[in-house]
This record gives sequence, C-alpha cells and structure tokens, in this order.
Amino acid sequence: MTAHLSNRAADDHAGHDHQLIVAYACGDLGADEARAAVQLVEQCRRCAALDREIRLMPSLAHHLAVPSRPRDFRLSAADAERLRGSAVRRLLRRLGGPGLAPLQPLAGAAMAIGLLMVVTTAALPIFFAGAGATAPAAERALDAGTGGAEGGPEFSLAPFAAPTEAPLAPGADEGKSVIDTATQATKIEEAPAAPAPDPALLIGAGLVALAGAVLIVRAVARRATEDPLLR
Amino acid sequence: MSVDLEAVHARDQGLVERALAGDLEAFNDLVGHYQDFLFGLVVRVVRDREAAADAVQEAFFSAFRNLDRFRGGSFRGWLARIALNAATDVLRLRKRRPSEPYPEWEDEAWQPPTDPDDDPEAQATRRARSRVIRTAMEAITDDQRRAILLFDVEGFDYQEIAGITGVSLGTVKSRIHRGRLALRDLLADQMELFRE
Ligand SMILES: [Zn+2]
Repeated sequence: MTAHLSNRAADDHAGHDHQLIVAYACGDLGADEARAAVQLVEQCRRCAALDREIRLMPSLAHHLAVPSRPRDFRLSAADAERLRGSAVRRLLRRLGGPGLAPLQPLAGAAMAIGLLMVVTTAALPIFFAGAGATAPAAERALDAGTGGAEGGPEFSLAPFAAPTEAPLAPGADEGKSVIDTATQATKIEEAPAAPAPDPALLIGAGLVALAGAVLIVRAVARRATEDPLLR
Repeated sequence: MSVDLEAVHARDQGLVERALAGDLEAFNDLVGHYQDFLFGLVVRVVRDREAAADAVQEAFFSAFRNLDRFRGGSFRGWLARIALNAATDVLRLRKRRPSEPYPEWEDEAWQPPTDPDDDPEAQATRRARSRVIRTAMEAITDDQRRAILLFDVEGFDYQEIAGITGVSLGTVKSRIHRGRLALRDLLADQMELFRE
C-alpha cells in the first residue's frame, strides 16, 4: 500500500510543472503564478525539494575555483601606438565613429529634401506641360487654317501651306519670300538659348549629392574599421 | 542604482575620457580594475588558461581601439560583452580544430586556494566541491553557463545580461532557469557535499 502511494506521488510529480517551480525559486513569477507554485510546493514533497535545491544553485557556482591570471594585461606604449594605427586608419575611424553619428540623420533628411526639390522643380513642370499640350496645339491648328488639323508645329506646316495659297503676283511673291527670310532670321535670333536651370533644382541636386557622399563615406569608413568583437 | 555603483561608473567615465584624450595610464587603470574579473569570467567559459588569457588580451586591445564607441553606463558590462565575444571566437576555433588540447581540468591551477587554517578534510571537501561543480558546469549548454556565470557569480542583473549577451530578457531568464534545473539534476546525487 505504501509503495503504491509513493509510486502515485512520483507519477503526480512527473506531471507537475517543474519550470514553474524553478521560476518561483528564482523569484521570477507574478502573483498569480506564484500562488500556483506555492500550492505545488505545499502539496508535493518533491516539488518542495526542487524548490529548495534550485535556491541553493546560486551559491554552488561560487565553489567553482578559478585559476590565477597568468599575466598582466596592461598595454605598453608600443601596444597603444600599434592599436591607434596609421593616420589613414585614424581618419577612417573618425569618419565612421560615433563622433559624426549625428550627421547620419541630417544627411538622411537632406537627401529627402533634396530629392523632393528635384522632383518638384524638374518633374512636375514636365508633367503639367504634357497635360496642357493639347489646348495650344488645337489653337495652333485653327490658326494654320488648312492642313492644320494634325496640329503639328507652326514651322513644320509652313512649307506645305504655301503652295495651296492663291497665286500672287511675281513681285508680291518675291516680296513675301524676303519677308519670310527676315522673319526666319528673327526667329533664329529670338530662339531662346537653353533656359537657365531653376535654382531650386540646383540646390536640390546639390543636397542629394552632398548627403549621398556623407552616407557613402560613413558606410565605407565604418566597414573598414569594423571590429568583430563589438558585434 | 546604488551609490557605490554610481561612483564606479563616474570613476570609469573619467578614466575613459582621459584615455580618449590620449592618456594611456588612464586606460591601464581601467585594465587594472577589471582584468581579474574579465579573466575569471572568460576562463570559466573557455576552460583553458592560455586561450582565456589570449581572449582577454584581445578584449582589452579591442576596448582600447573602440573606446570612443563606449556609450557610458557600465564599463564592466561593456568589457564583459567584448570579452565574451572573444571567448566565443576561441570556442568556435576549438570546435573547428578538435585536435587542439582540451582544458587542463585536473591542473593545479584549477584547484581552490588552500587555506592554512583548513584541516585536510576541509581542503579535500573544497576540492571535491570545485571538481563536481566544474564537471556539472561543463555539461550544461554554453549559453546557460554564460548566463549563470554572469548572474550567480558576477552579479549582473537580467537586464545587463541581456545587453551583454545580445538576447532578450525572456531568453536570459529562460537560460538561467533551465541552466539551474540542469545543474540541479546533474548534482542530484552529490547534494550532500554542499550541505554545511
Ligand atoms: Zn511535484
């Protein structure tokens, strides 16, 4: 009968939450879980032993003897010199080091602002020009009269339009050709040179380039001076 | 944070700043404060005196090179993290080269110091305890051993251990719980040895 009871107790204990008892013994349980653990410790002899023995563990680790330190680890002046490295290495360390870390978010912000400026000053006008192109083309087609239906540019229609016009007197024709030549010359003179770039576009592009350079230099410097022991 | 701990942090911060300004003596003062702690921690992880010494030396070299990356707080914890990374490298190398000689378990260097007042029986008990604990510590996982050493022996708290070992608070607790349970099972037959 006694053997039967102790077997039953052992079976019961096997089903008890040992991790809960360990966490309780380590003082890592909240109130509710601690109550459940206390119940087990009070009702099960083997849970109580587990609790007792786990509480002993921290002091046991102190029985582990440690060999004495075989040498002094202080650095010599030569060690220090070697570890500081060459001027290039020191520069790389400075560039990749935490001293310049505040530059990183600044560069990120500058990059975002620069890109925004480039997009708004360069891309949006093109978009709007594209969207508004149909109306002036239609007006030009009406102005051109015949053959203007395709809405091509004025200068390209002129050579086709001229032969369909009513024949003029030879003199008048000559006169018109002189006028046309003069008009063309004026047009060539008046044709605008490449438009001056928008200052906002220049500033935006400059910001992007500068921020990109800062981010790349930091990344390269950090990579070059990375220490695996600081992982 | 206790007043003592605050004073230690302030002292270390002062030494770090002087070392950063080029004062080698200040850095060596830090080495003087922490070399025993660091060697004791690493040698229990790698279980080889010479390999541990090399790892600790590398850790101090790395700390010197990267002193500007120390962000304040516990310098001891920062050093422990670097040194445990060096210890991990030693263990990794050993795993790759199993022919390397393994720890000198029974070496005199690993025996507890003898106290002249101890009778022979007490000395024998101390040696036996140390041997039994060493064998049990050897049998648990490397992660559990580190967590237990940092918590039970070196006195770091869970949060600090999470920072040193680079894992979550829950993982630290779990490693300590499982490690203690494993140690308890391994020592079950020898608990009598530890009763005073
Ligand atoms: Zn139980």
